[in-house]
Amino acid sequence: MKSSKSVLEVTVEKIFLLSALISVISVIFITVFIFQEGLPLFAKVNPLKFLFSSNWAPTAEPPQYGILSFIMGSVWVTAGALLLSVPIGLAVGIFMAEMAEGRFADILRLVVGLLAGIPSVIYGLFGYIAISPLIRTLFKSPTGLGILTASIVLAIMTLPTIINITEVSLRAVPQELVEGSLALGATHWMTIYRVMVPSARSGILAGIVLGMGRAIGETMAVLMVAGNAVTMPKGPLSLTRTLTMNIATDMKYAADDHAVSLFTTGIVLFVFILGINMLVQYLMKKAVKEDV
Amino acid sequence: MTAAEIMERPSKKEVISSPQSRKLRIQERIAKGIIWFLAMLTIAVLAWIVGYLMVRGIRYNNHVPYGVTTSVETQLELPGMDDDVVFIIHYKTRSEDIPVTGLRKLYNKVRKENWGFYNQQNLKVTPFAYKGAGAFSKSVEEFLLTGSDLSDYRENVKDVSSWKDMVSHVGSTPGSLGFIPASEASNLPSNVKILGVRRIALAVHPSVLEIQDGKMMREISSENVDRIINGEVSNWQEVGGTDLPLTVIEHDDSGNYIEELQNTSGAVVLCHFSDIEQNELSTIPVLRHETGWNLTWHFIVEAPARSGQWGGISYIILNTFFLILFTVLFSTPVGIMAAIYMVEYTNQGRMMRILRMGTETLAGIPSIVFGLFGFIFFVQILGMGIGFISSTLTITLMVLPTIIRTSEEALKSVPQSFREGSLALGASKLQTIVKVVLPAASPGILTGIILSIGRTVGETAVLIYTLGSNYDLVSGPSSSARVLSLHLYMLFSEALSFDRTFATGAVLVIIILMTNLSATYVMKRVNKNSGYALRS
Repeated sequence: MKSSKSVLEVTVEKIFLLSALISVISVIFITVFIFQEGLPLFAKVNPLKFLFSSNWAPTAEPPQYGILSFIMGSVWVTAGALLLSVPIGLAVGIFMAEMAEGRFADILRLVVGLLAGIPSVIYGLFGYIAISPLIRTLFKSPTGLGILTASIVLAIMTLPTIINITEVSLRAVPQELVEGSLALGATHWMTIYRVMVPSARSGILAGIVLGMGRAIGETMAVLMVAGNAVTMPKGPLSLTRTLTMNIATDMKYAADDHAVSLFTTGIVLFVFILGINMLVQYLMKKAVKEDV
Repeated sequence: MTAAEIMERPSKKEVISSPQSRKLRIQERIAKGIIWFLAMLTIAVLAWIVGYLMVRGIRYNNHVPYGVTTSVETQLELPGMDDDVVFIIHYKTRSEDIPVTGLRKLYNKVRKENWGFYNQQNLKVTPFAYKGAGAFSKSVEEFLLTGSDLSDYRENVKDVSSWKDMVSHVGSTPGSLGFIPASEASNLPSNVKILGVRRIALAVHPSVLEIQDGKMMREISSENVDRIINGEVSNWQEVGGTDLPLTVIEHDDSGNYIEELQNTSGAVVLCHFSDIEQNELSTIPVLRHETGWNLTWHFIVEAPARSGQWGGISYIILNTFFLILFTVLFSTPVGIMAAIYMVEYTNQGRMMRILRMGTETLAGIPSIVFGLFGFIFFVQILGMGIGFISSTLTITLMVLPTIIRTSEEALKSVPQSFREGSLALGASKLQTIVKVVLPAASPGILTGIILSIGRTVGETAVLIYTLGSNYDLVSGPSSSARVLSLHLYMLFSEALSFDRTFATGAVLVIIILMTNLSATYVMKRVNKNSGYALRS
């Protein structure tokens, strides 16, 4: 090798570095611009009132900006989705890591991949046309739309995330642990739920939190099935509006402070997601450490 | 945590058939059974979603209410004329039959009449008439105007000089509509076809439509109309109405039946729609069962019109294609170069942590936030406007993490010996990367590109505020456009047509399935070749 790198080599390396930095720069830009656009609202509206009032009337005189009902909407919908998708996701993850063999495993893997690939508008359409009539007849709700329907749709959407990470974490469990357990006379099932799942729990938790992030951030599907009512959610059948829906619906016609308030909603969402991301990264790191 | 710690309970030496082990075995079987069931459920859910969408997307199956019954007349009797009239249309017009009110609207060009109102085919109507045929022409005109004297008609219709001339004009003008006497209708050329007209309607005594016990006759299915005609029904209850005896009255030309109808509670009569209009009779809309193909060749190749209500989705598909093309063009080089830097140039240091953090965070940001950012940054601050370039750049940022991550995996999977061999031969680091590492990693990188294509095709939330909603073909960097996912949402939210929403959805799903399957295929090939597993 030559002792000094040629100019070309150095230039190219700089270009590569620049490309790699684009994602970092984007994150910084996104953060800066969302905050820059949204924060001015707090000069006029008390941040606490913004977060903890459920009075949303941005076009009224005087305008009211309270997003508590949307936060609660997001919480309800996400909690509902996780309630459904976590048990199924765990089960299918275990199945893929430990029980599925040969062709069937391939098919299942393909199915999970396709579920992850289906666009959210399709899920929304499906939820509106196929799931909401079921809810309507089963629970006698007037429209069939609302938190429950949105949760079901979101559960299907977050399933692949949870399944994949569960499977990966289970596979990462050191073979000695499994063999040790089996050697002690434990059955396959006992090994799975007494040894493998506990030792993979950081990874599994990361998957669940990641799924949570997906559910909170999802826009189109919930927009189509959650009913979009600006009220505090009262139960699983009530119509609701989530943070993302608030941005998506009002963006069409918002002006001045109203538009700013949507960016402020974006900040809240963004902060939620950042927190979730950090949690995921922490958990993943822990999961990796536990492996070693 | 070790297995010994977890399994700290003293293990007894178990006899195979001890109650303890039997319990365990049952437990295991139940647990595994539940897991099996849930795995199957996952497959079933996918099958349900895709199957449902395909079935609804490929064929439509609707019950549409019309003021007239389903019976179609190809030759219409005119009062006082020996010859019947036949309506003819250009062969490319995809209508088989039309309610008489529609026919009149087409002729009088009410509300800028377009065939789209009847068959979703964006086609202007050109009505022809032959005014020189004396009483016959007069009679048809009378029928088409039903007594009203519309000067529009006289302005709109194009006059022809003979019946032969009419046939040749209709045959050569798309969207044309003409009429000829039935005696002239034999041996029509292949570019002209006969348009059926539905003008038989169901006139009823007003009592039938009254609300009783919160129940009301809103519409009637065509099967029930047949049963009524055949005399199989004696009470309106049997066809979904109220408790009222049903009397079928014979239609006669003298018009006596009208008085009889008005005097008999629960009476019904089959008559021409014009009679109903002239005498202001009550009528029941009849449901027509309409089935057919949603996802036709026409739907794929025709340009959308009237917000996608008419025409097809050709432009939308092309726009989607352009969006994919430019997103890939922007994101692939950047993504690959970033991955190369992360794998080849930097070690597990602070830089790496920052880069990894950036990619992970970018991957986690919800699309609506990207939408907000794109709207404020590309659209407003950089002044690119709502259009193609703003949305492409925003989507590029969105798919970047996918490409970086898969490329990284692919690069990492290239055996170290490849690099060492190349370096040993005197190649520089750059040469090694470009000539040895990249080709070896290319199938894995391809997977990332395909995955990002899938993501681009499916993305909607970002596009609403960066791409706009114009359904024309994208014409430049700042032109607003629609892609499939956006079109689907627009059709859905404007409630234009569920059939078209589903048809668009079917196209979207087919594209997604194709990209995903090809990604899986490529991944499998990679696995076979190099034995590394790629997971997203």
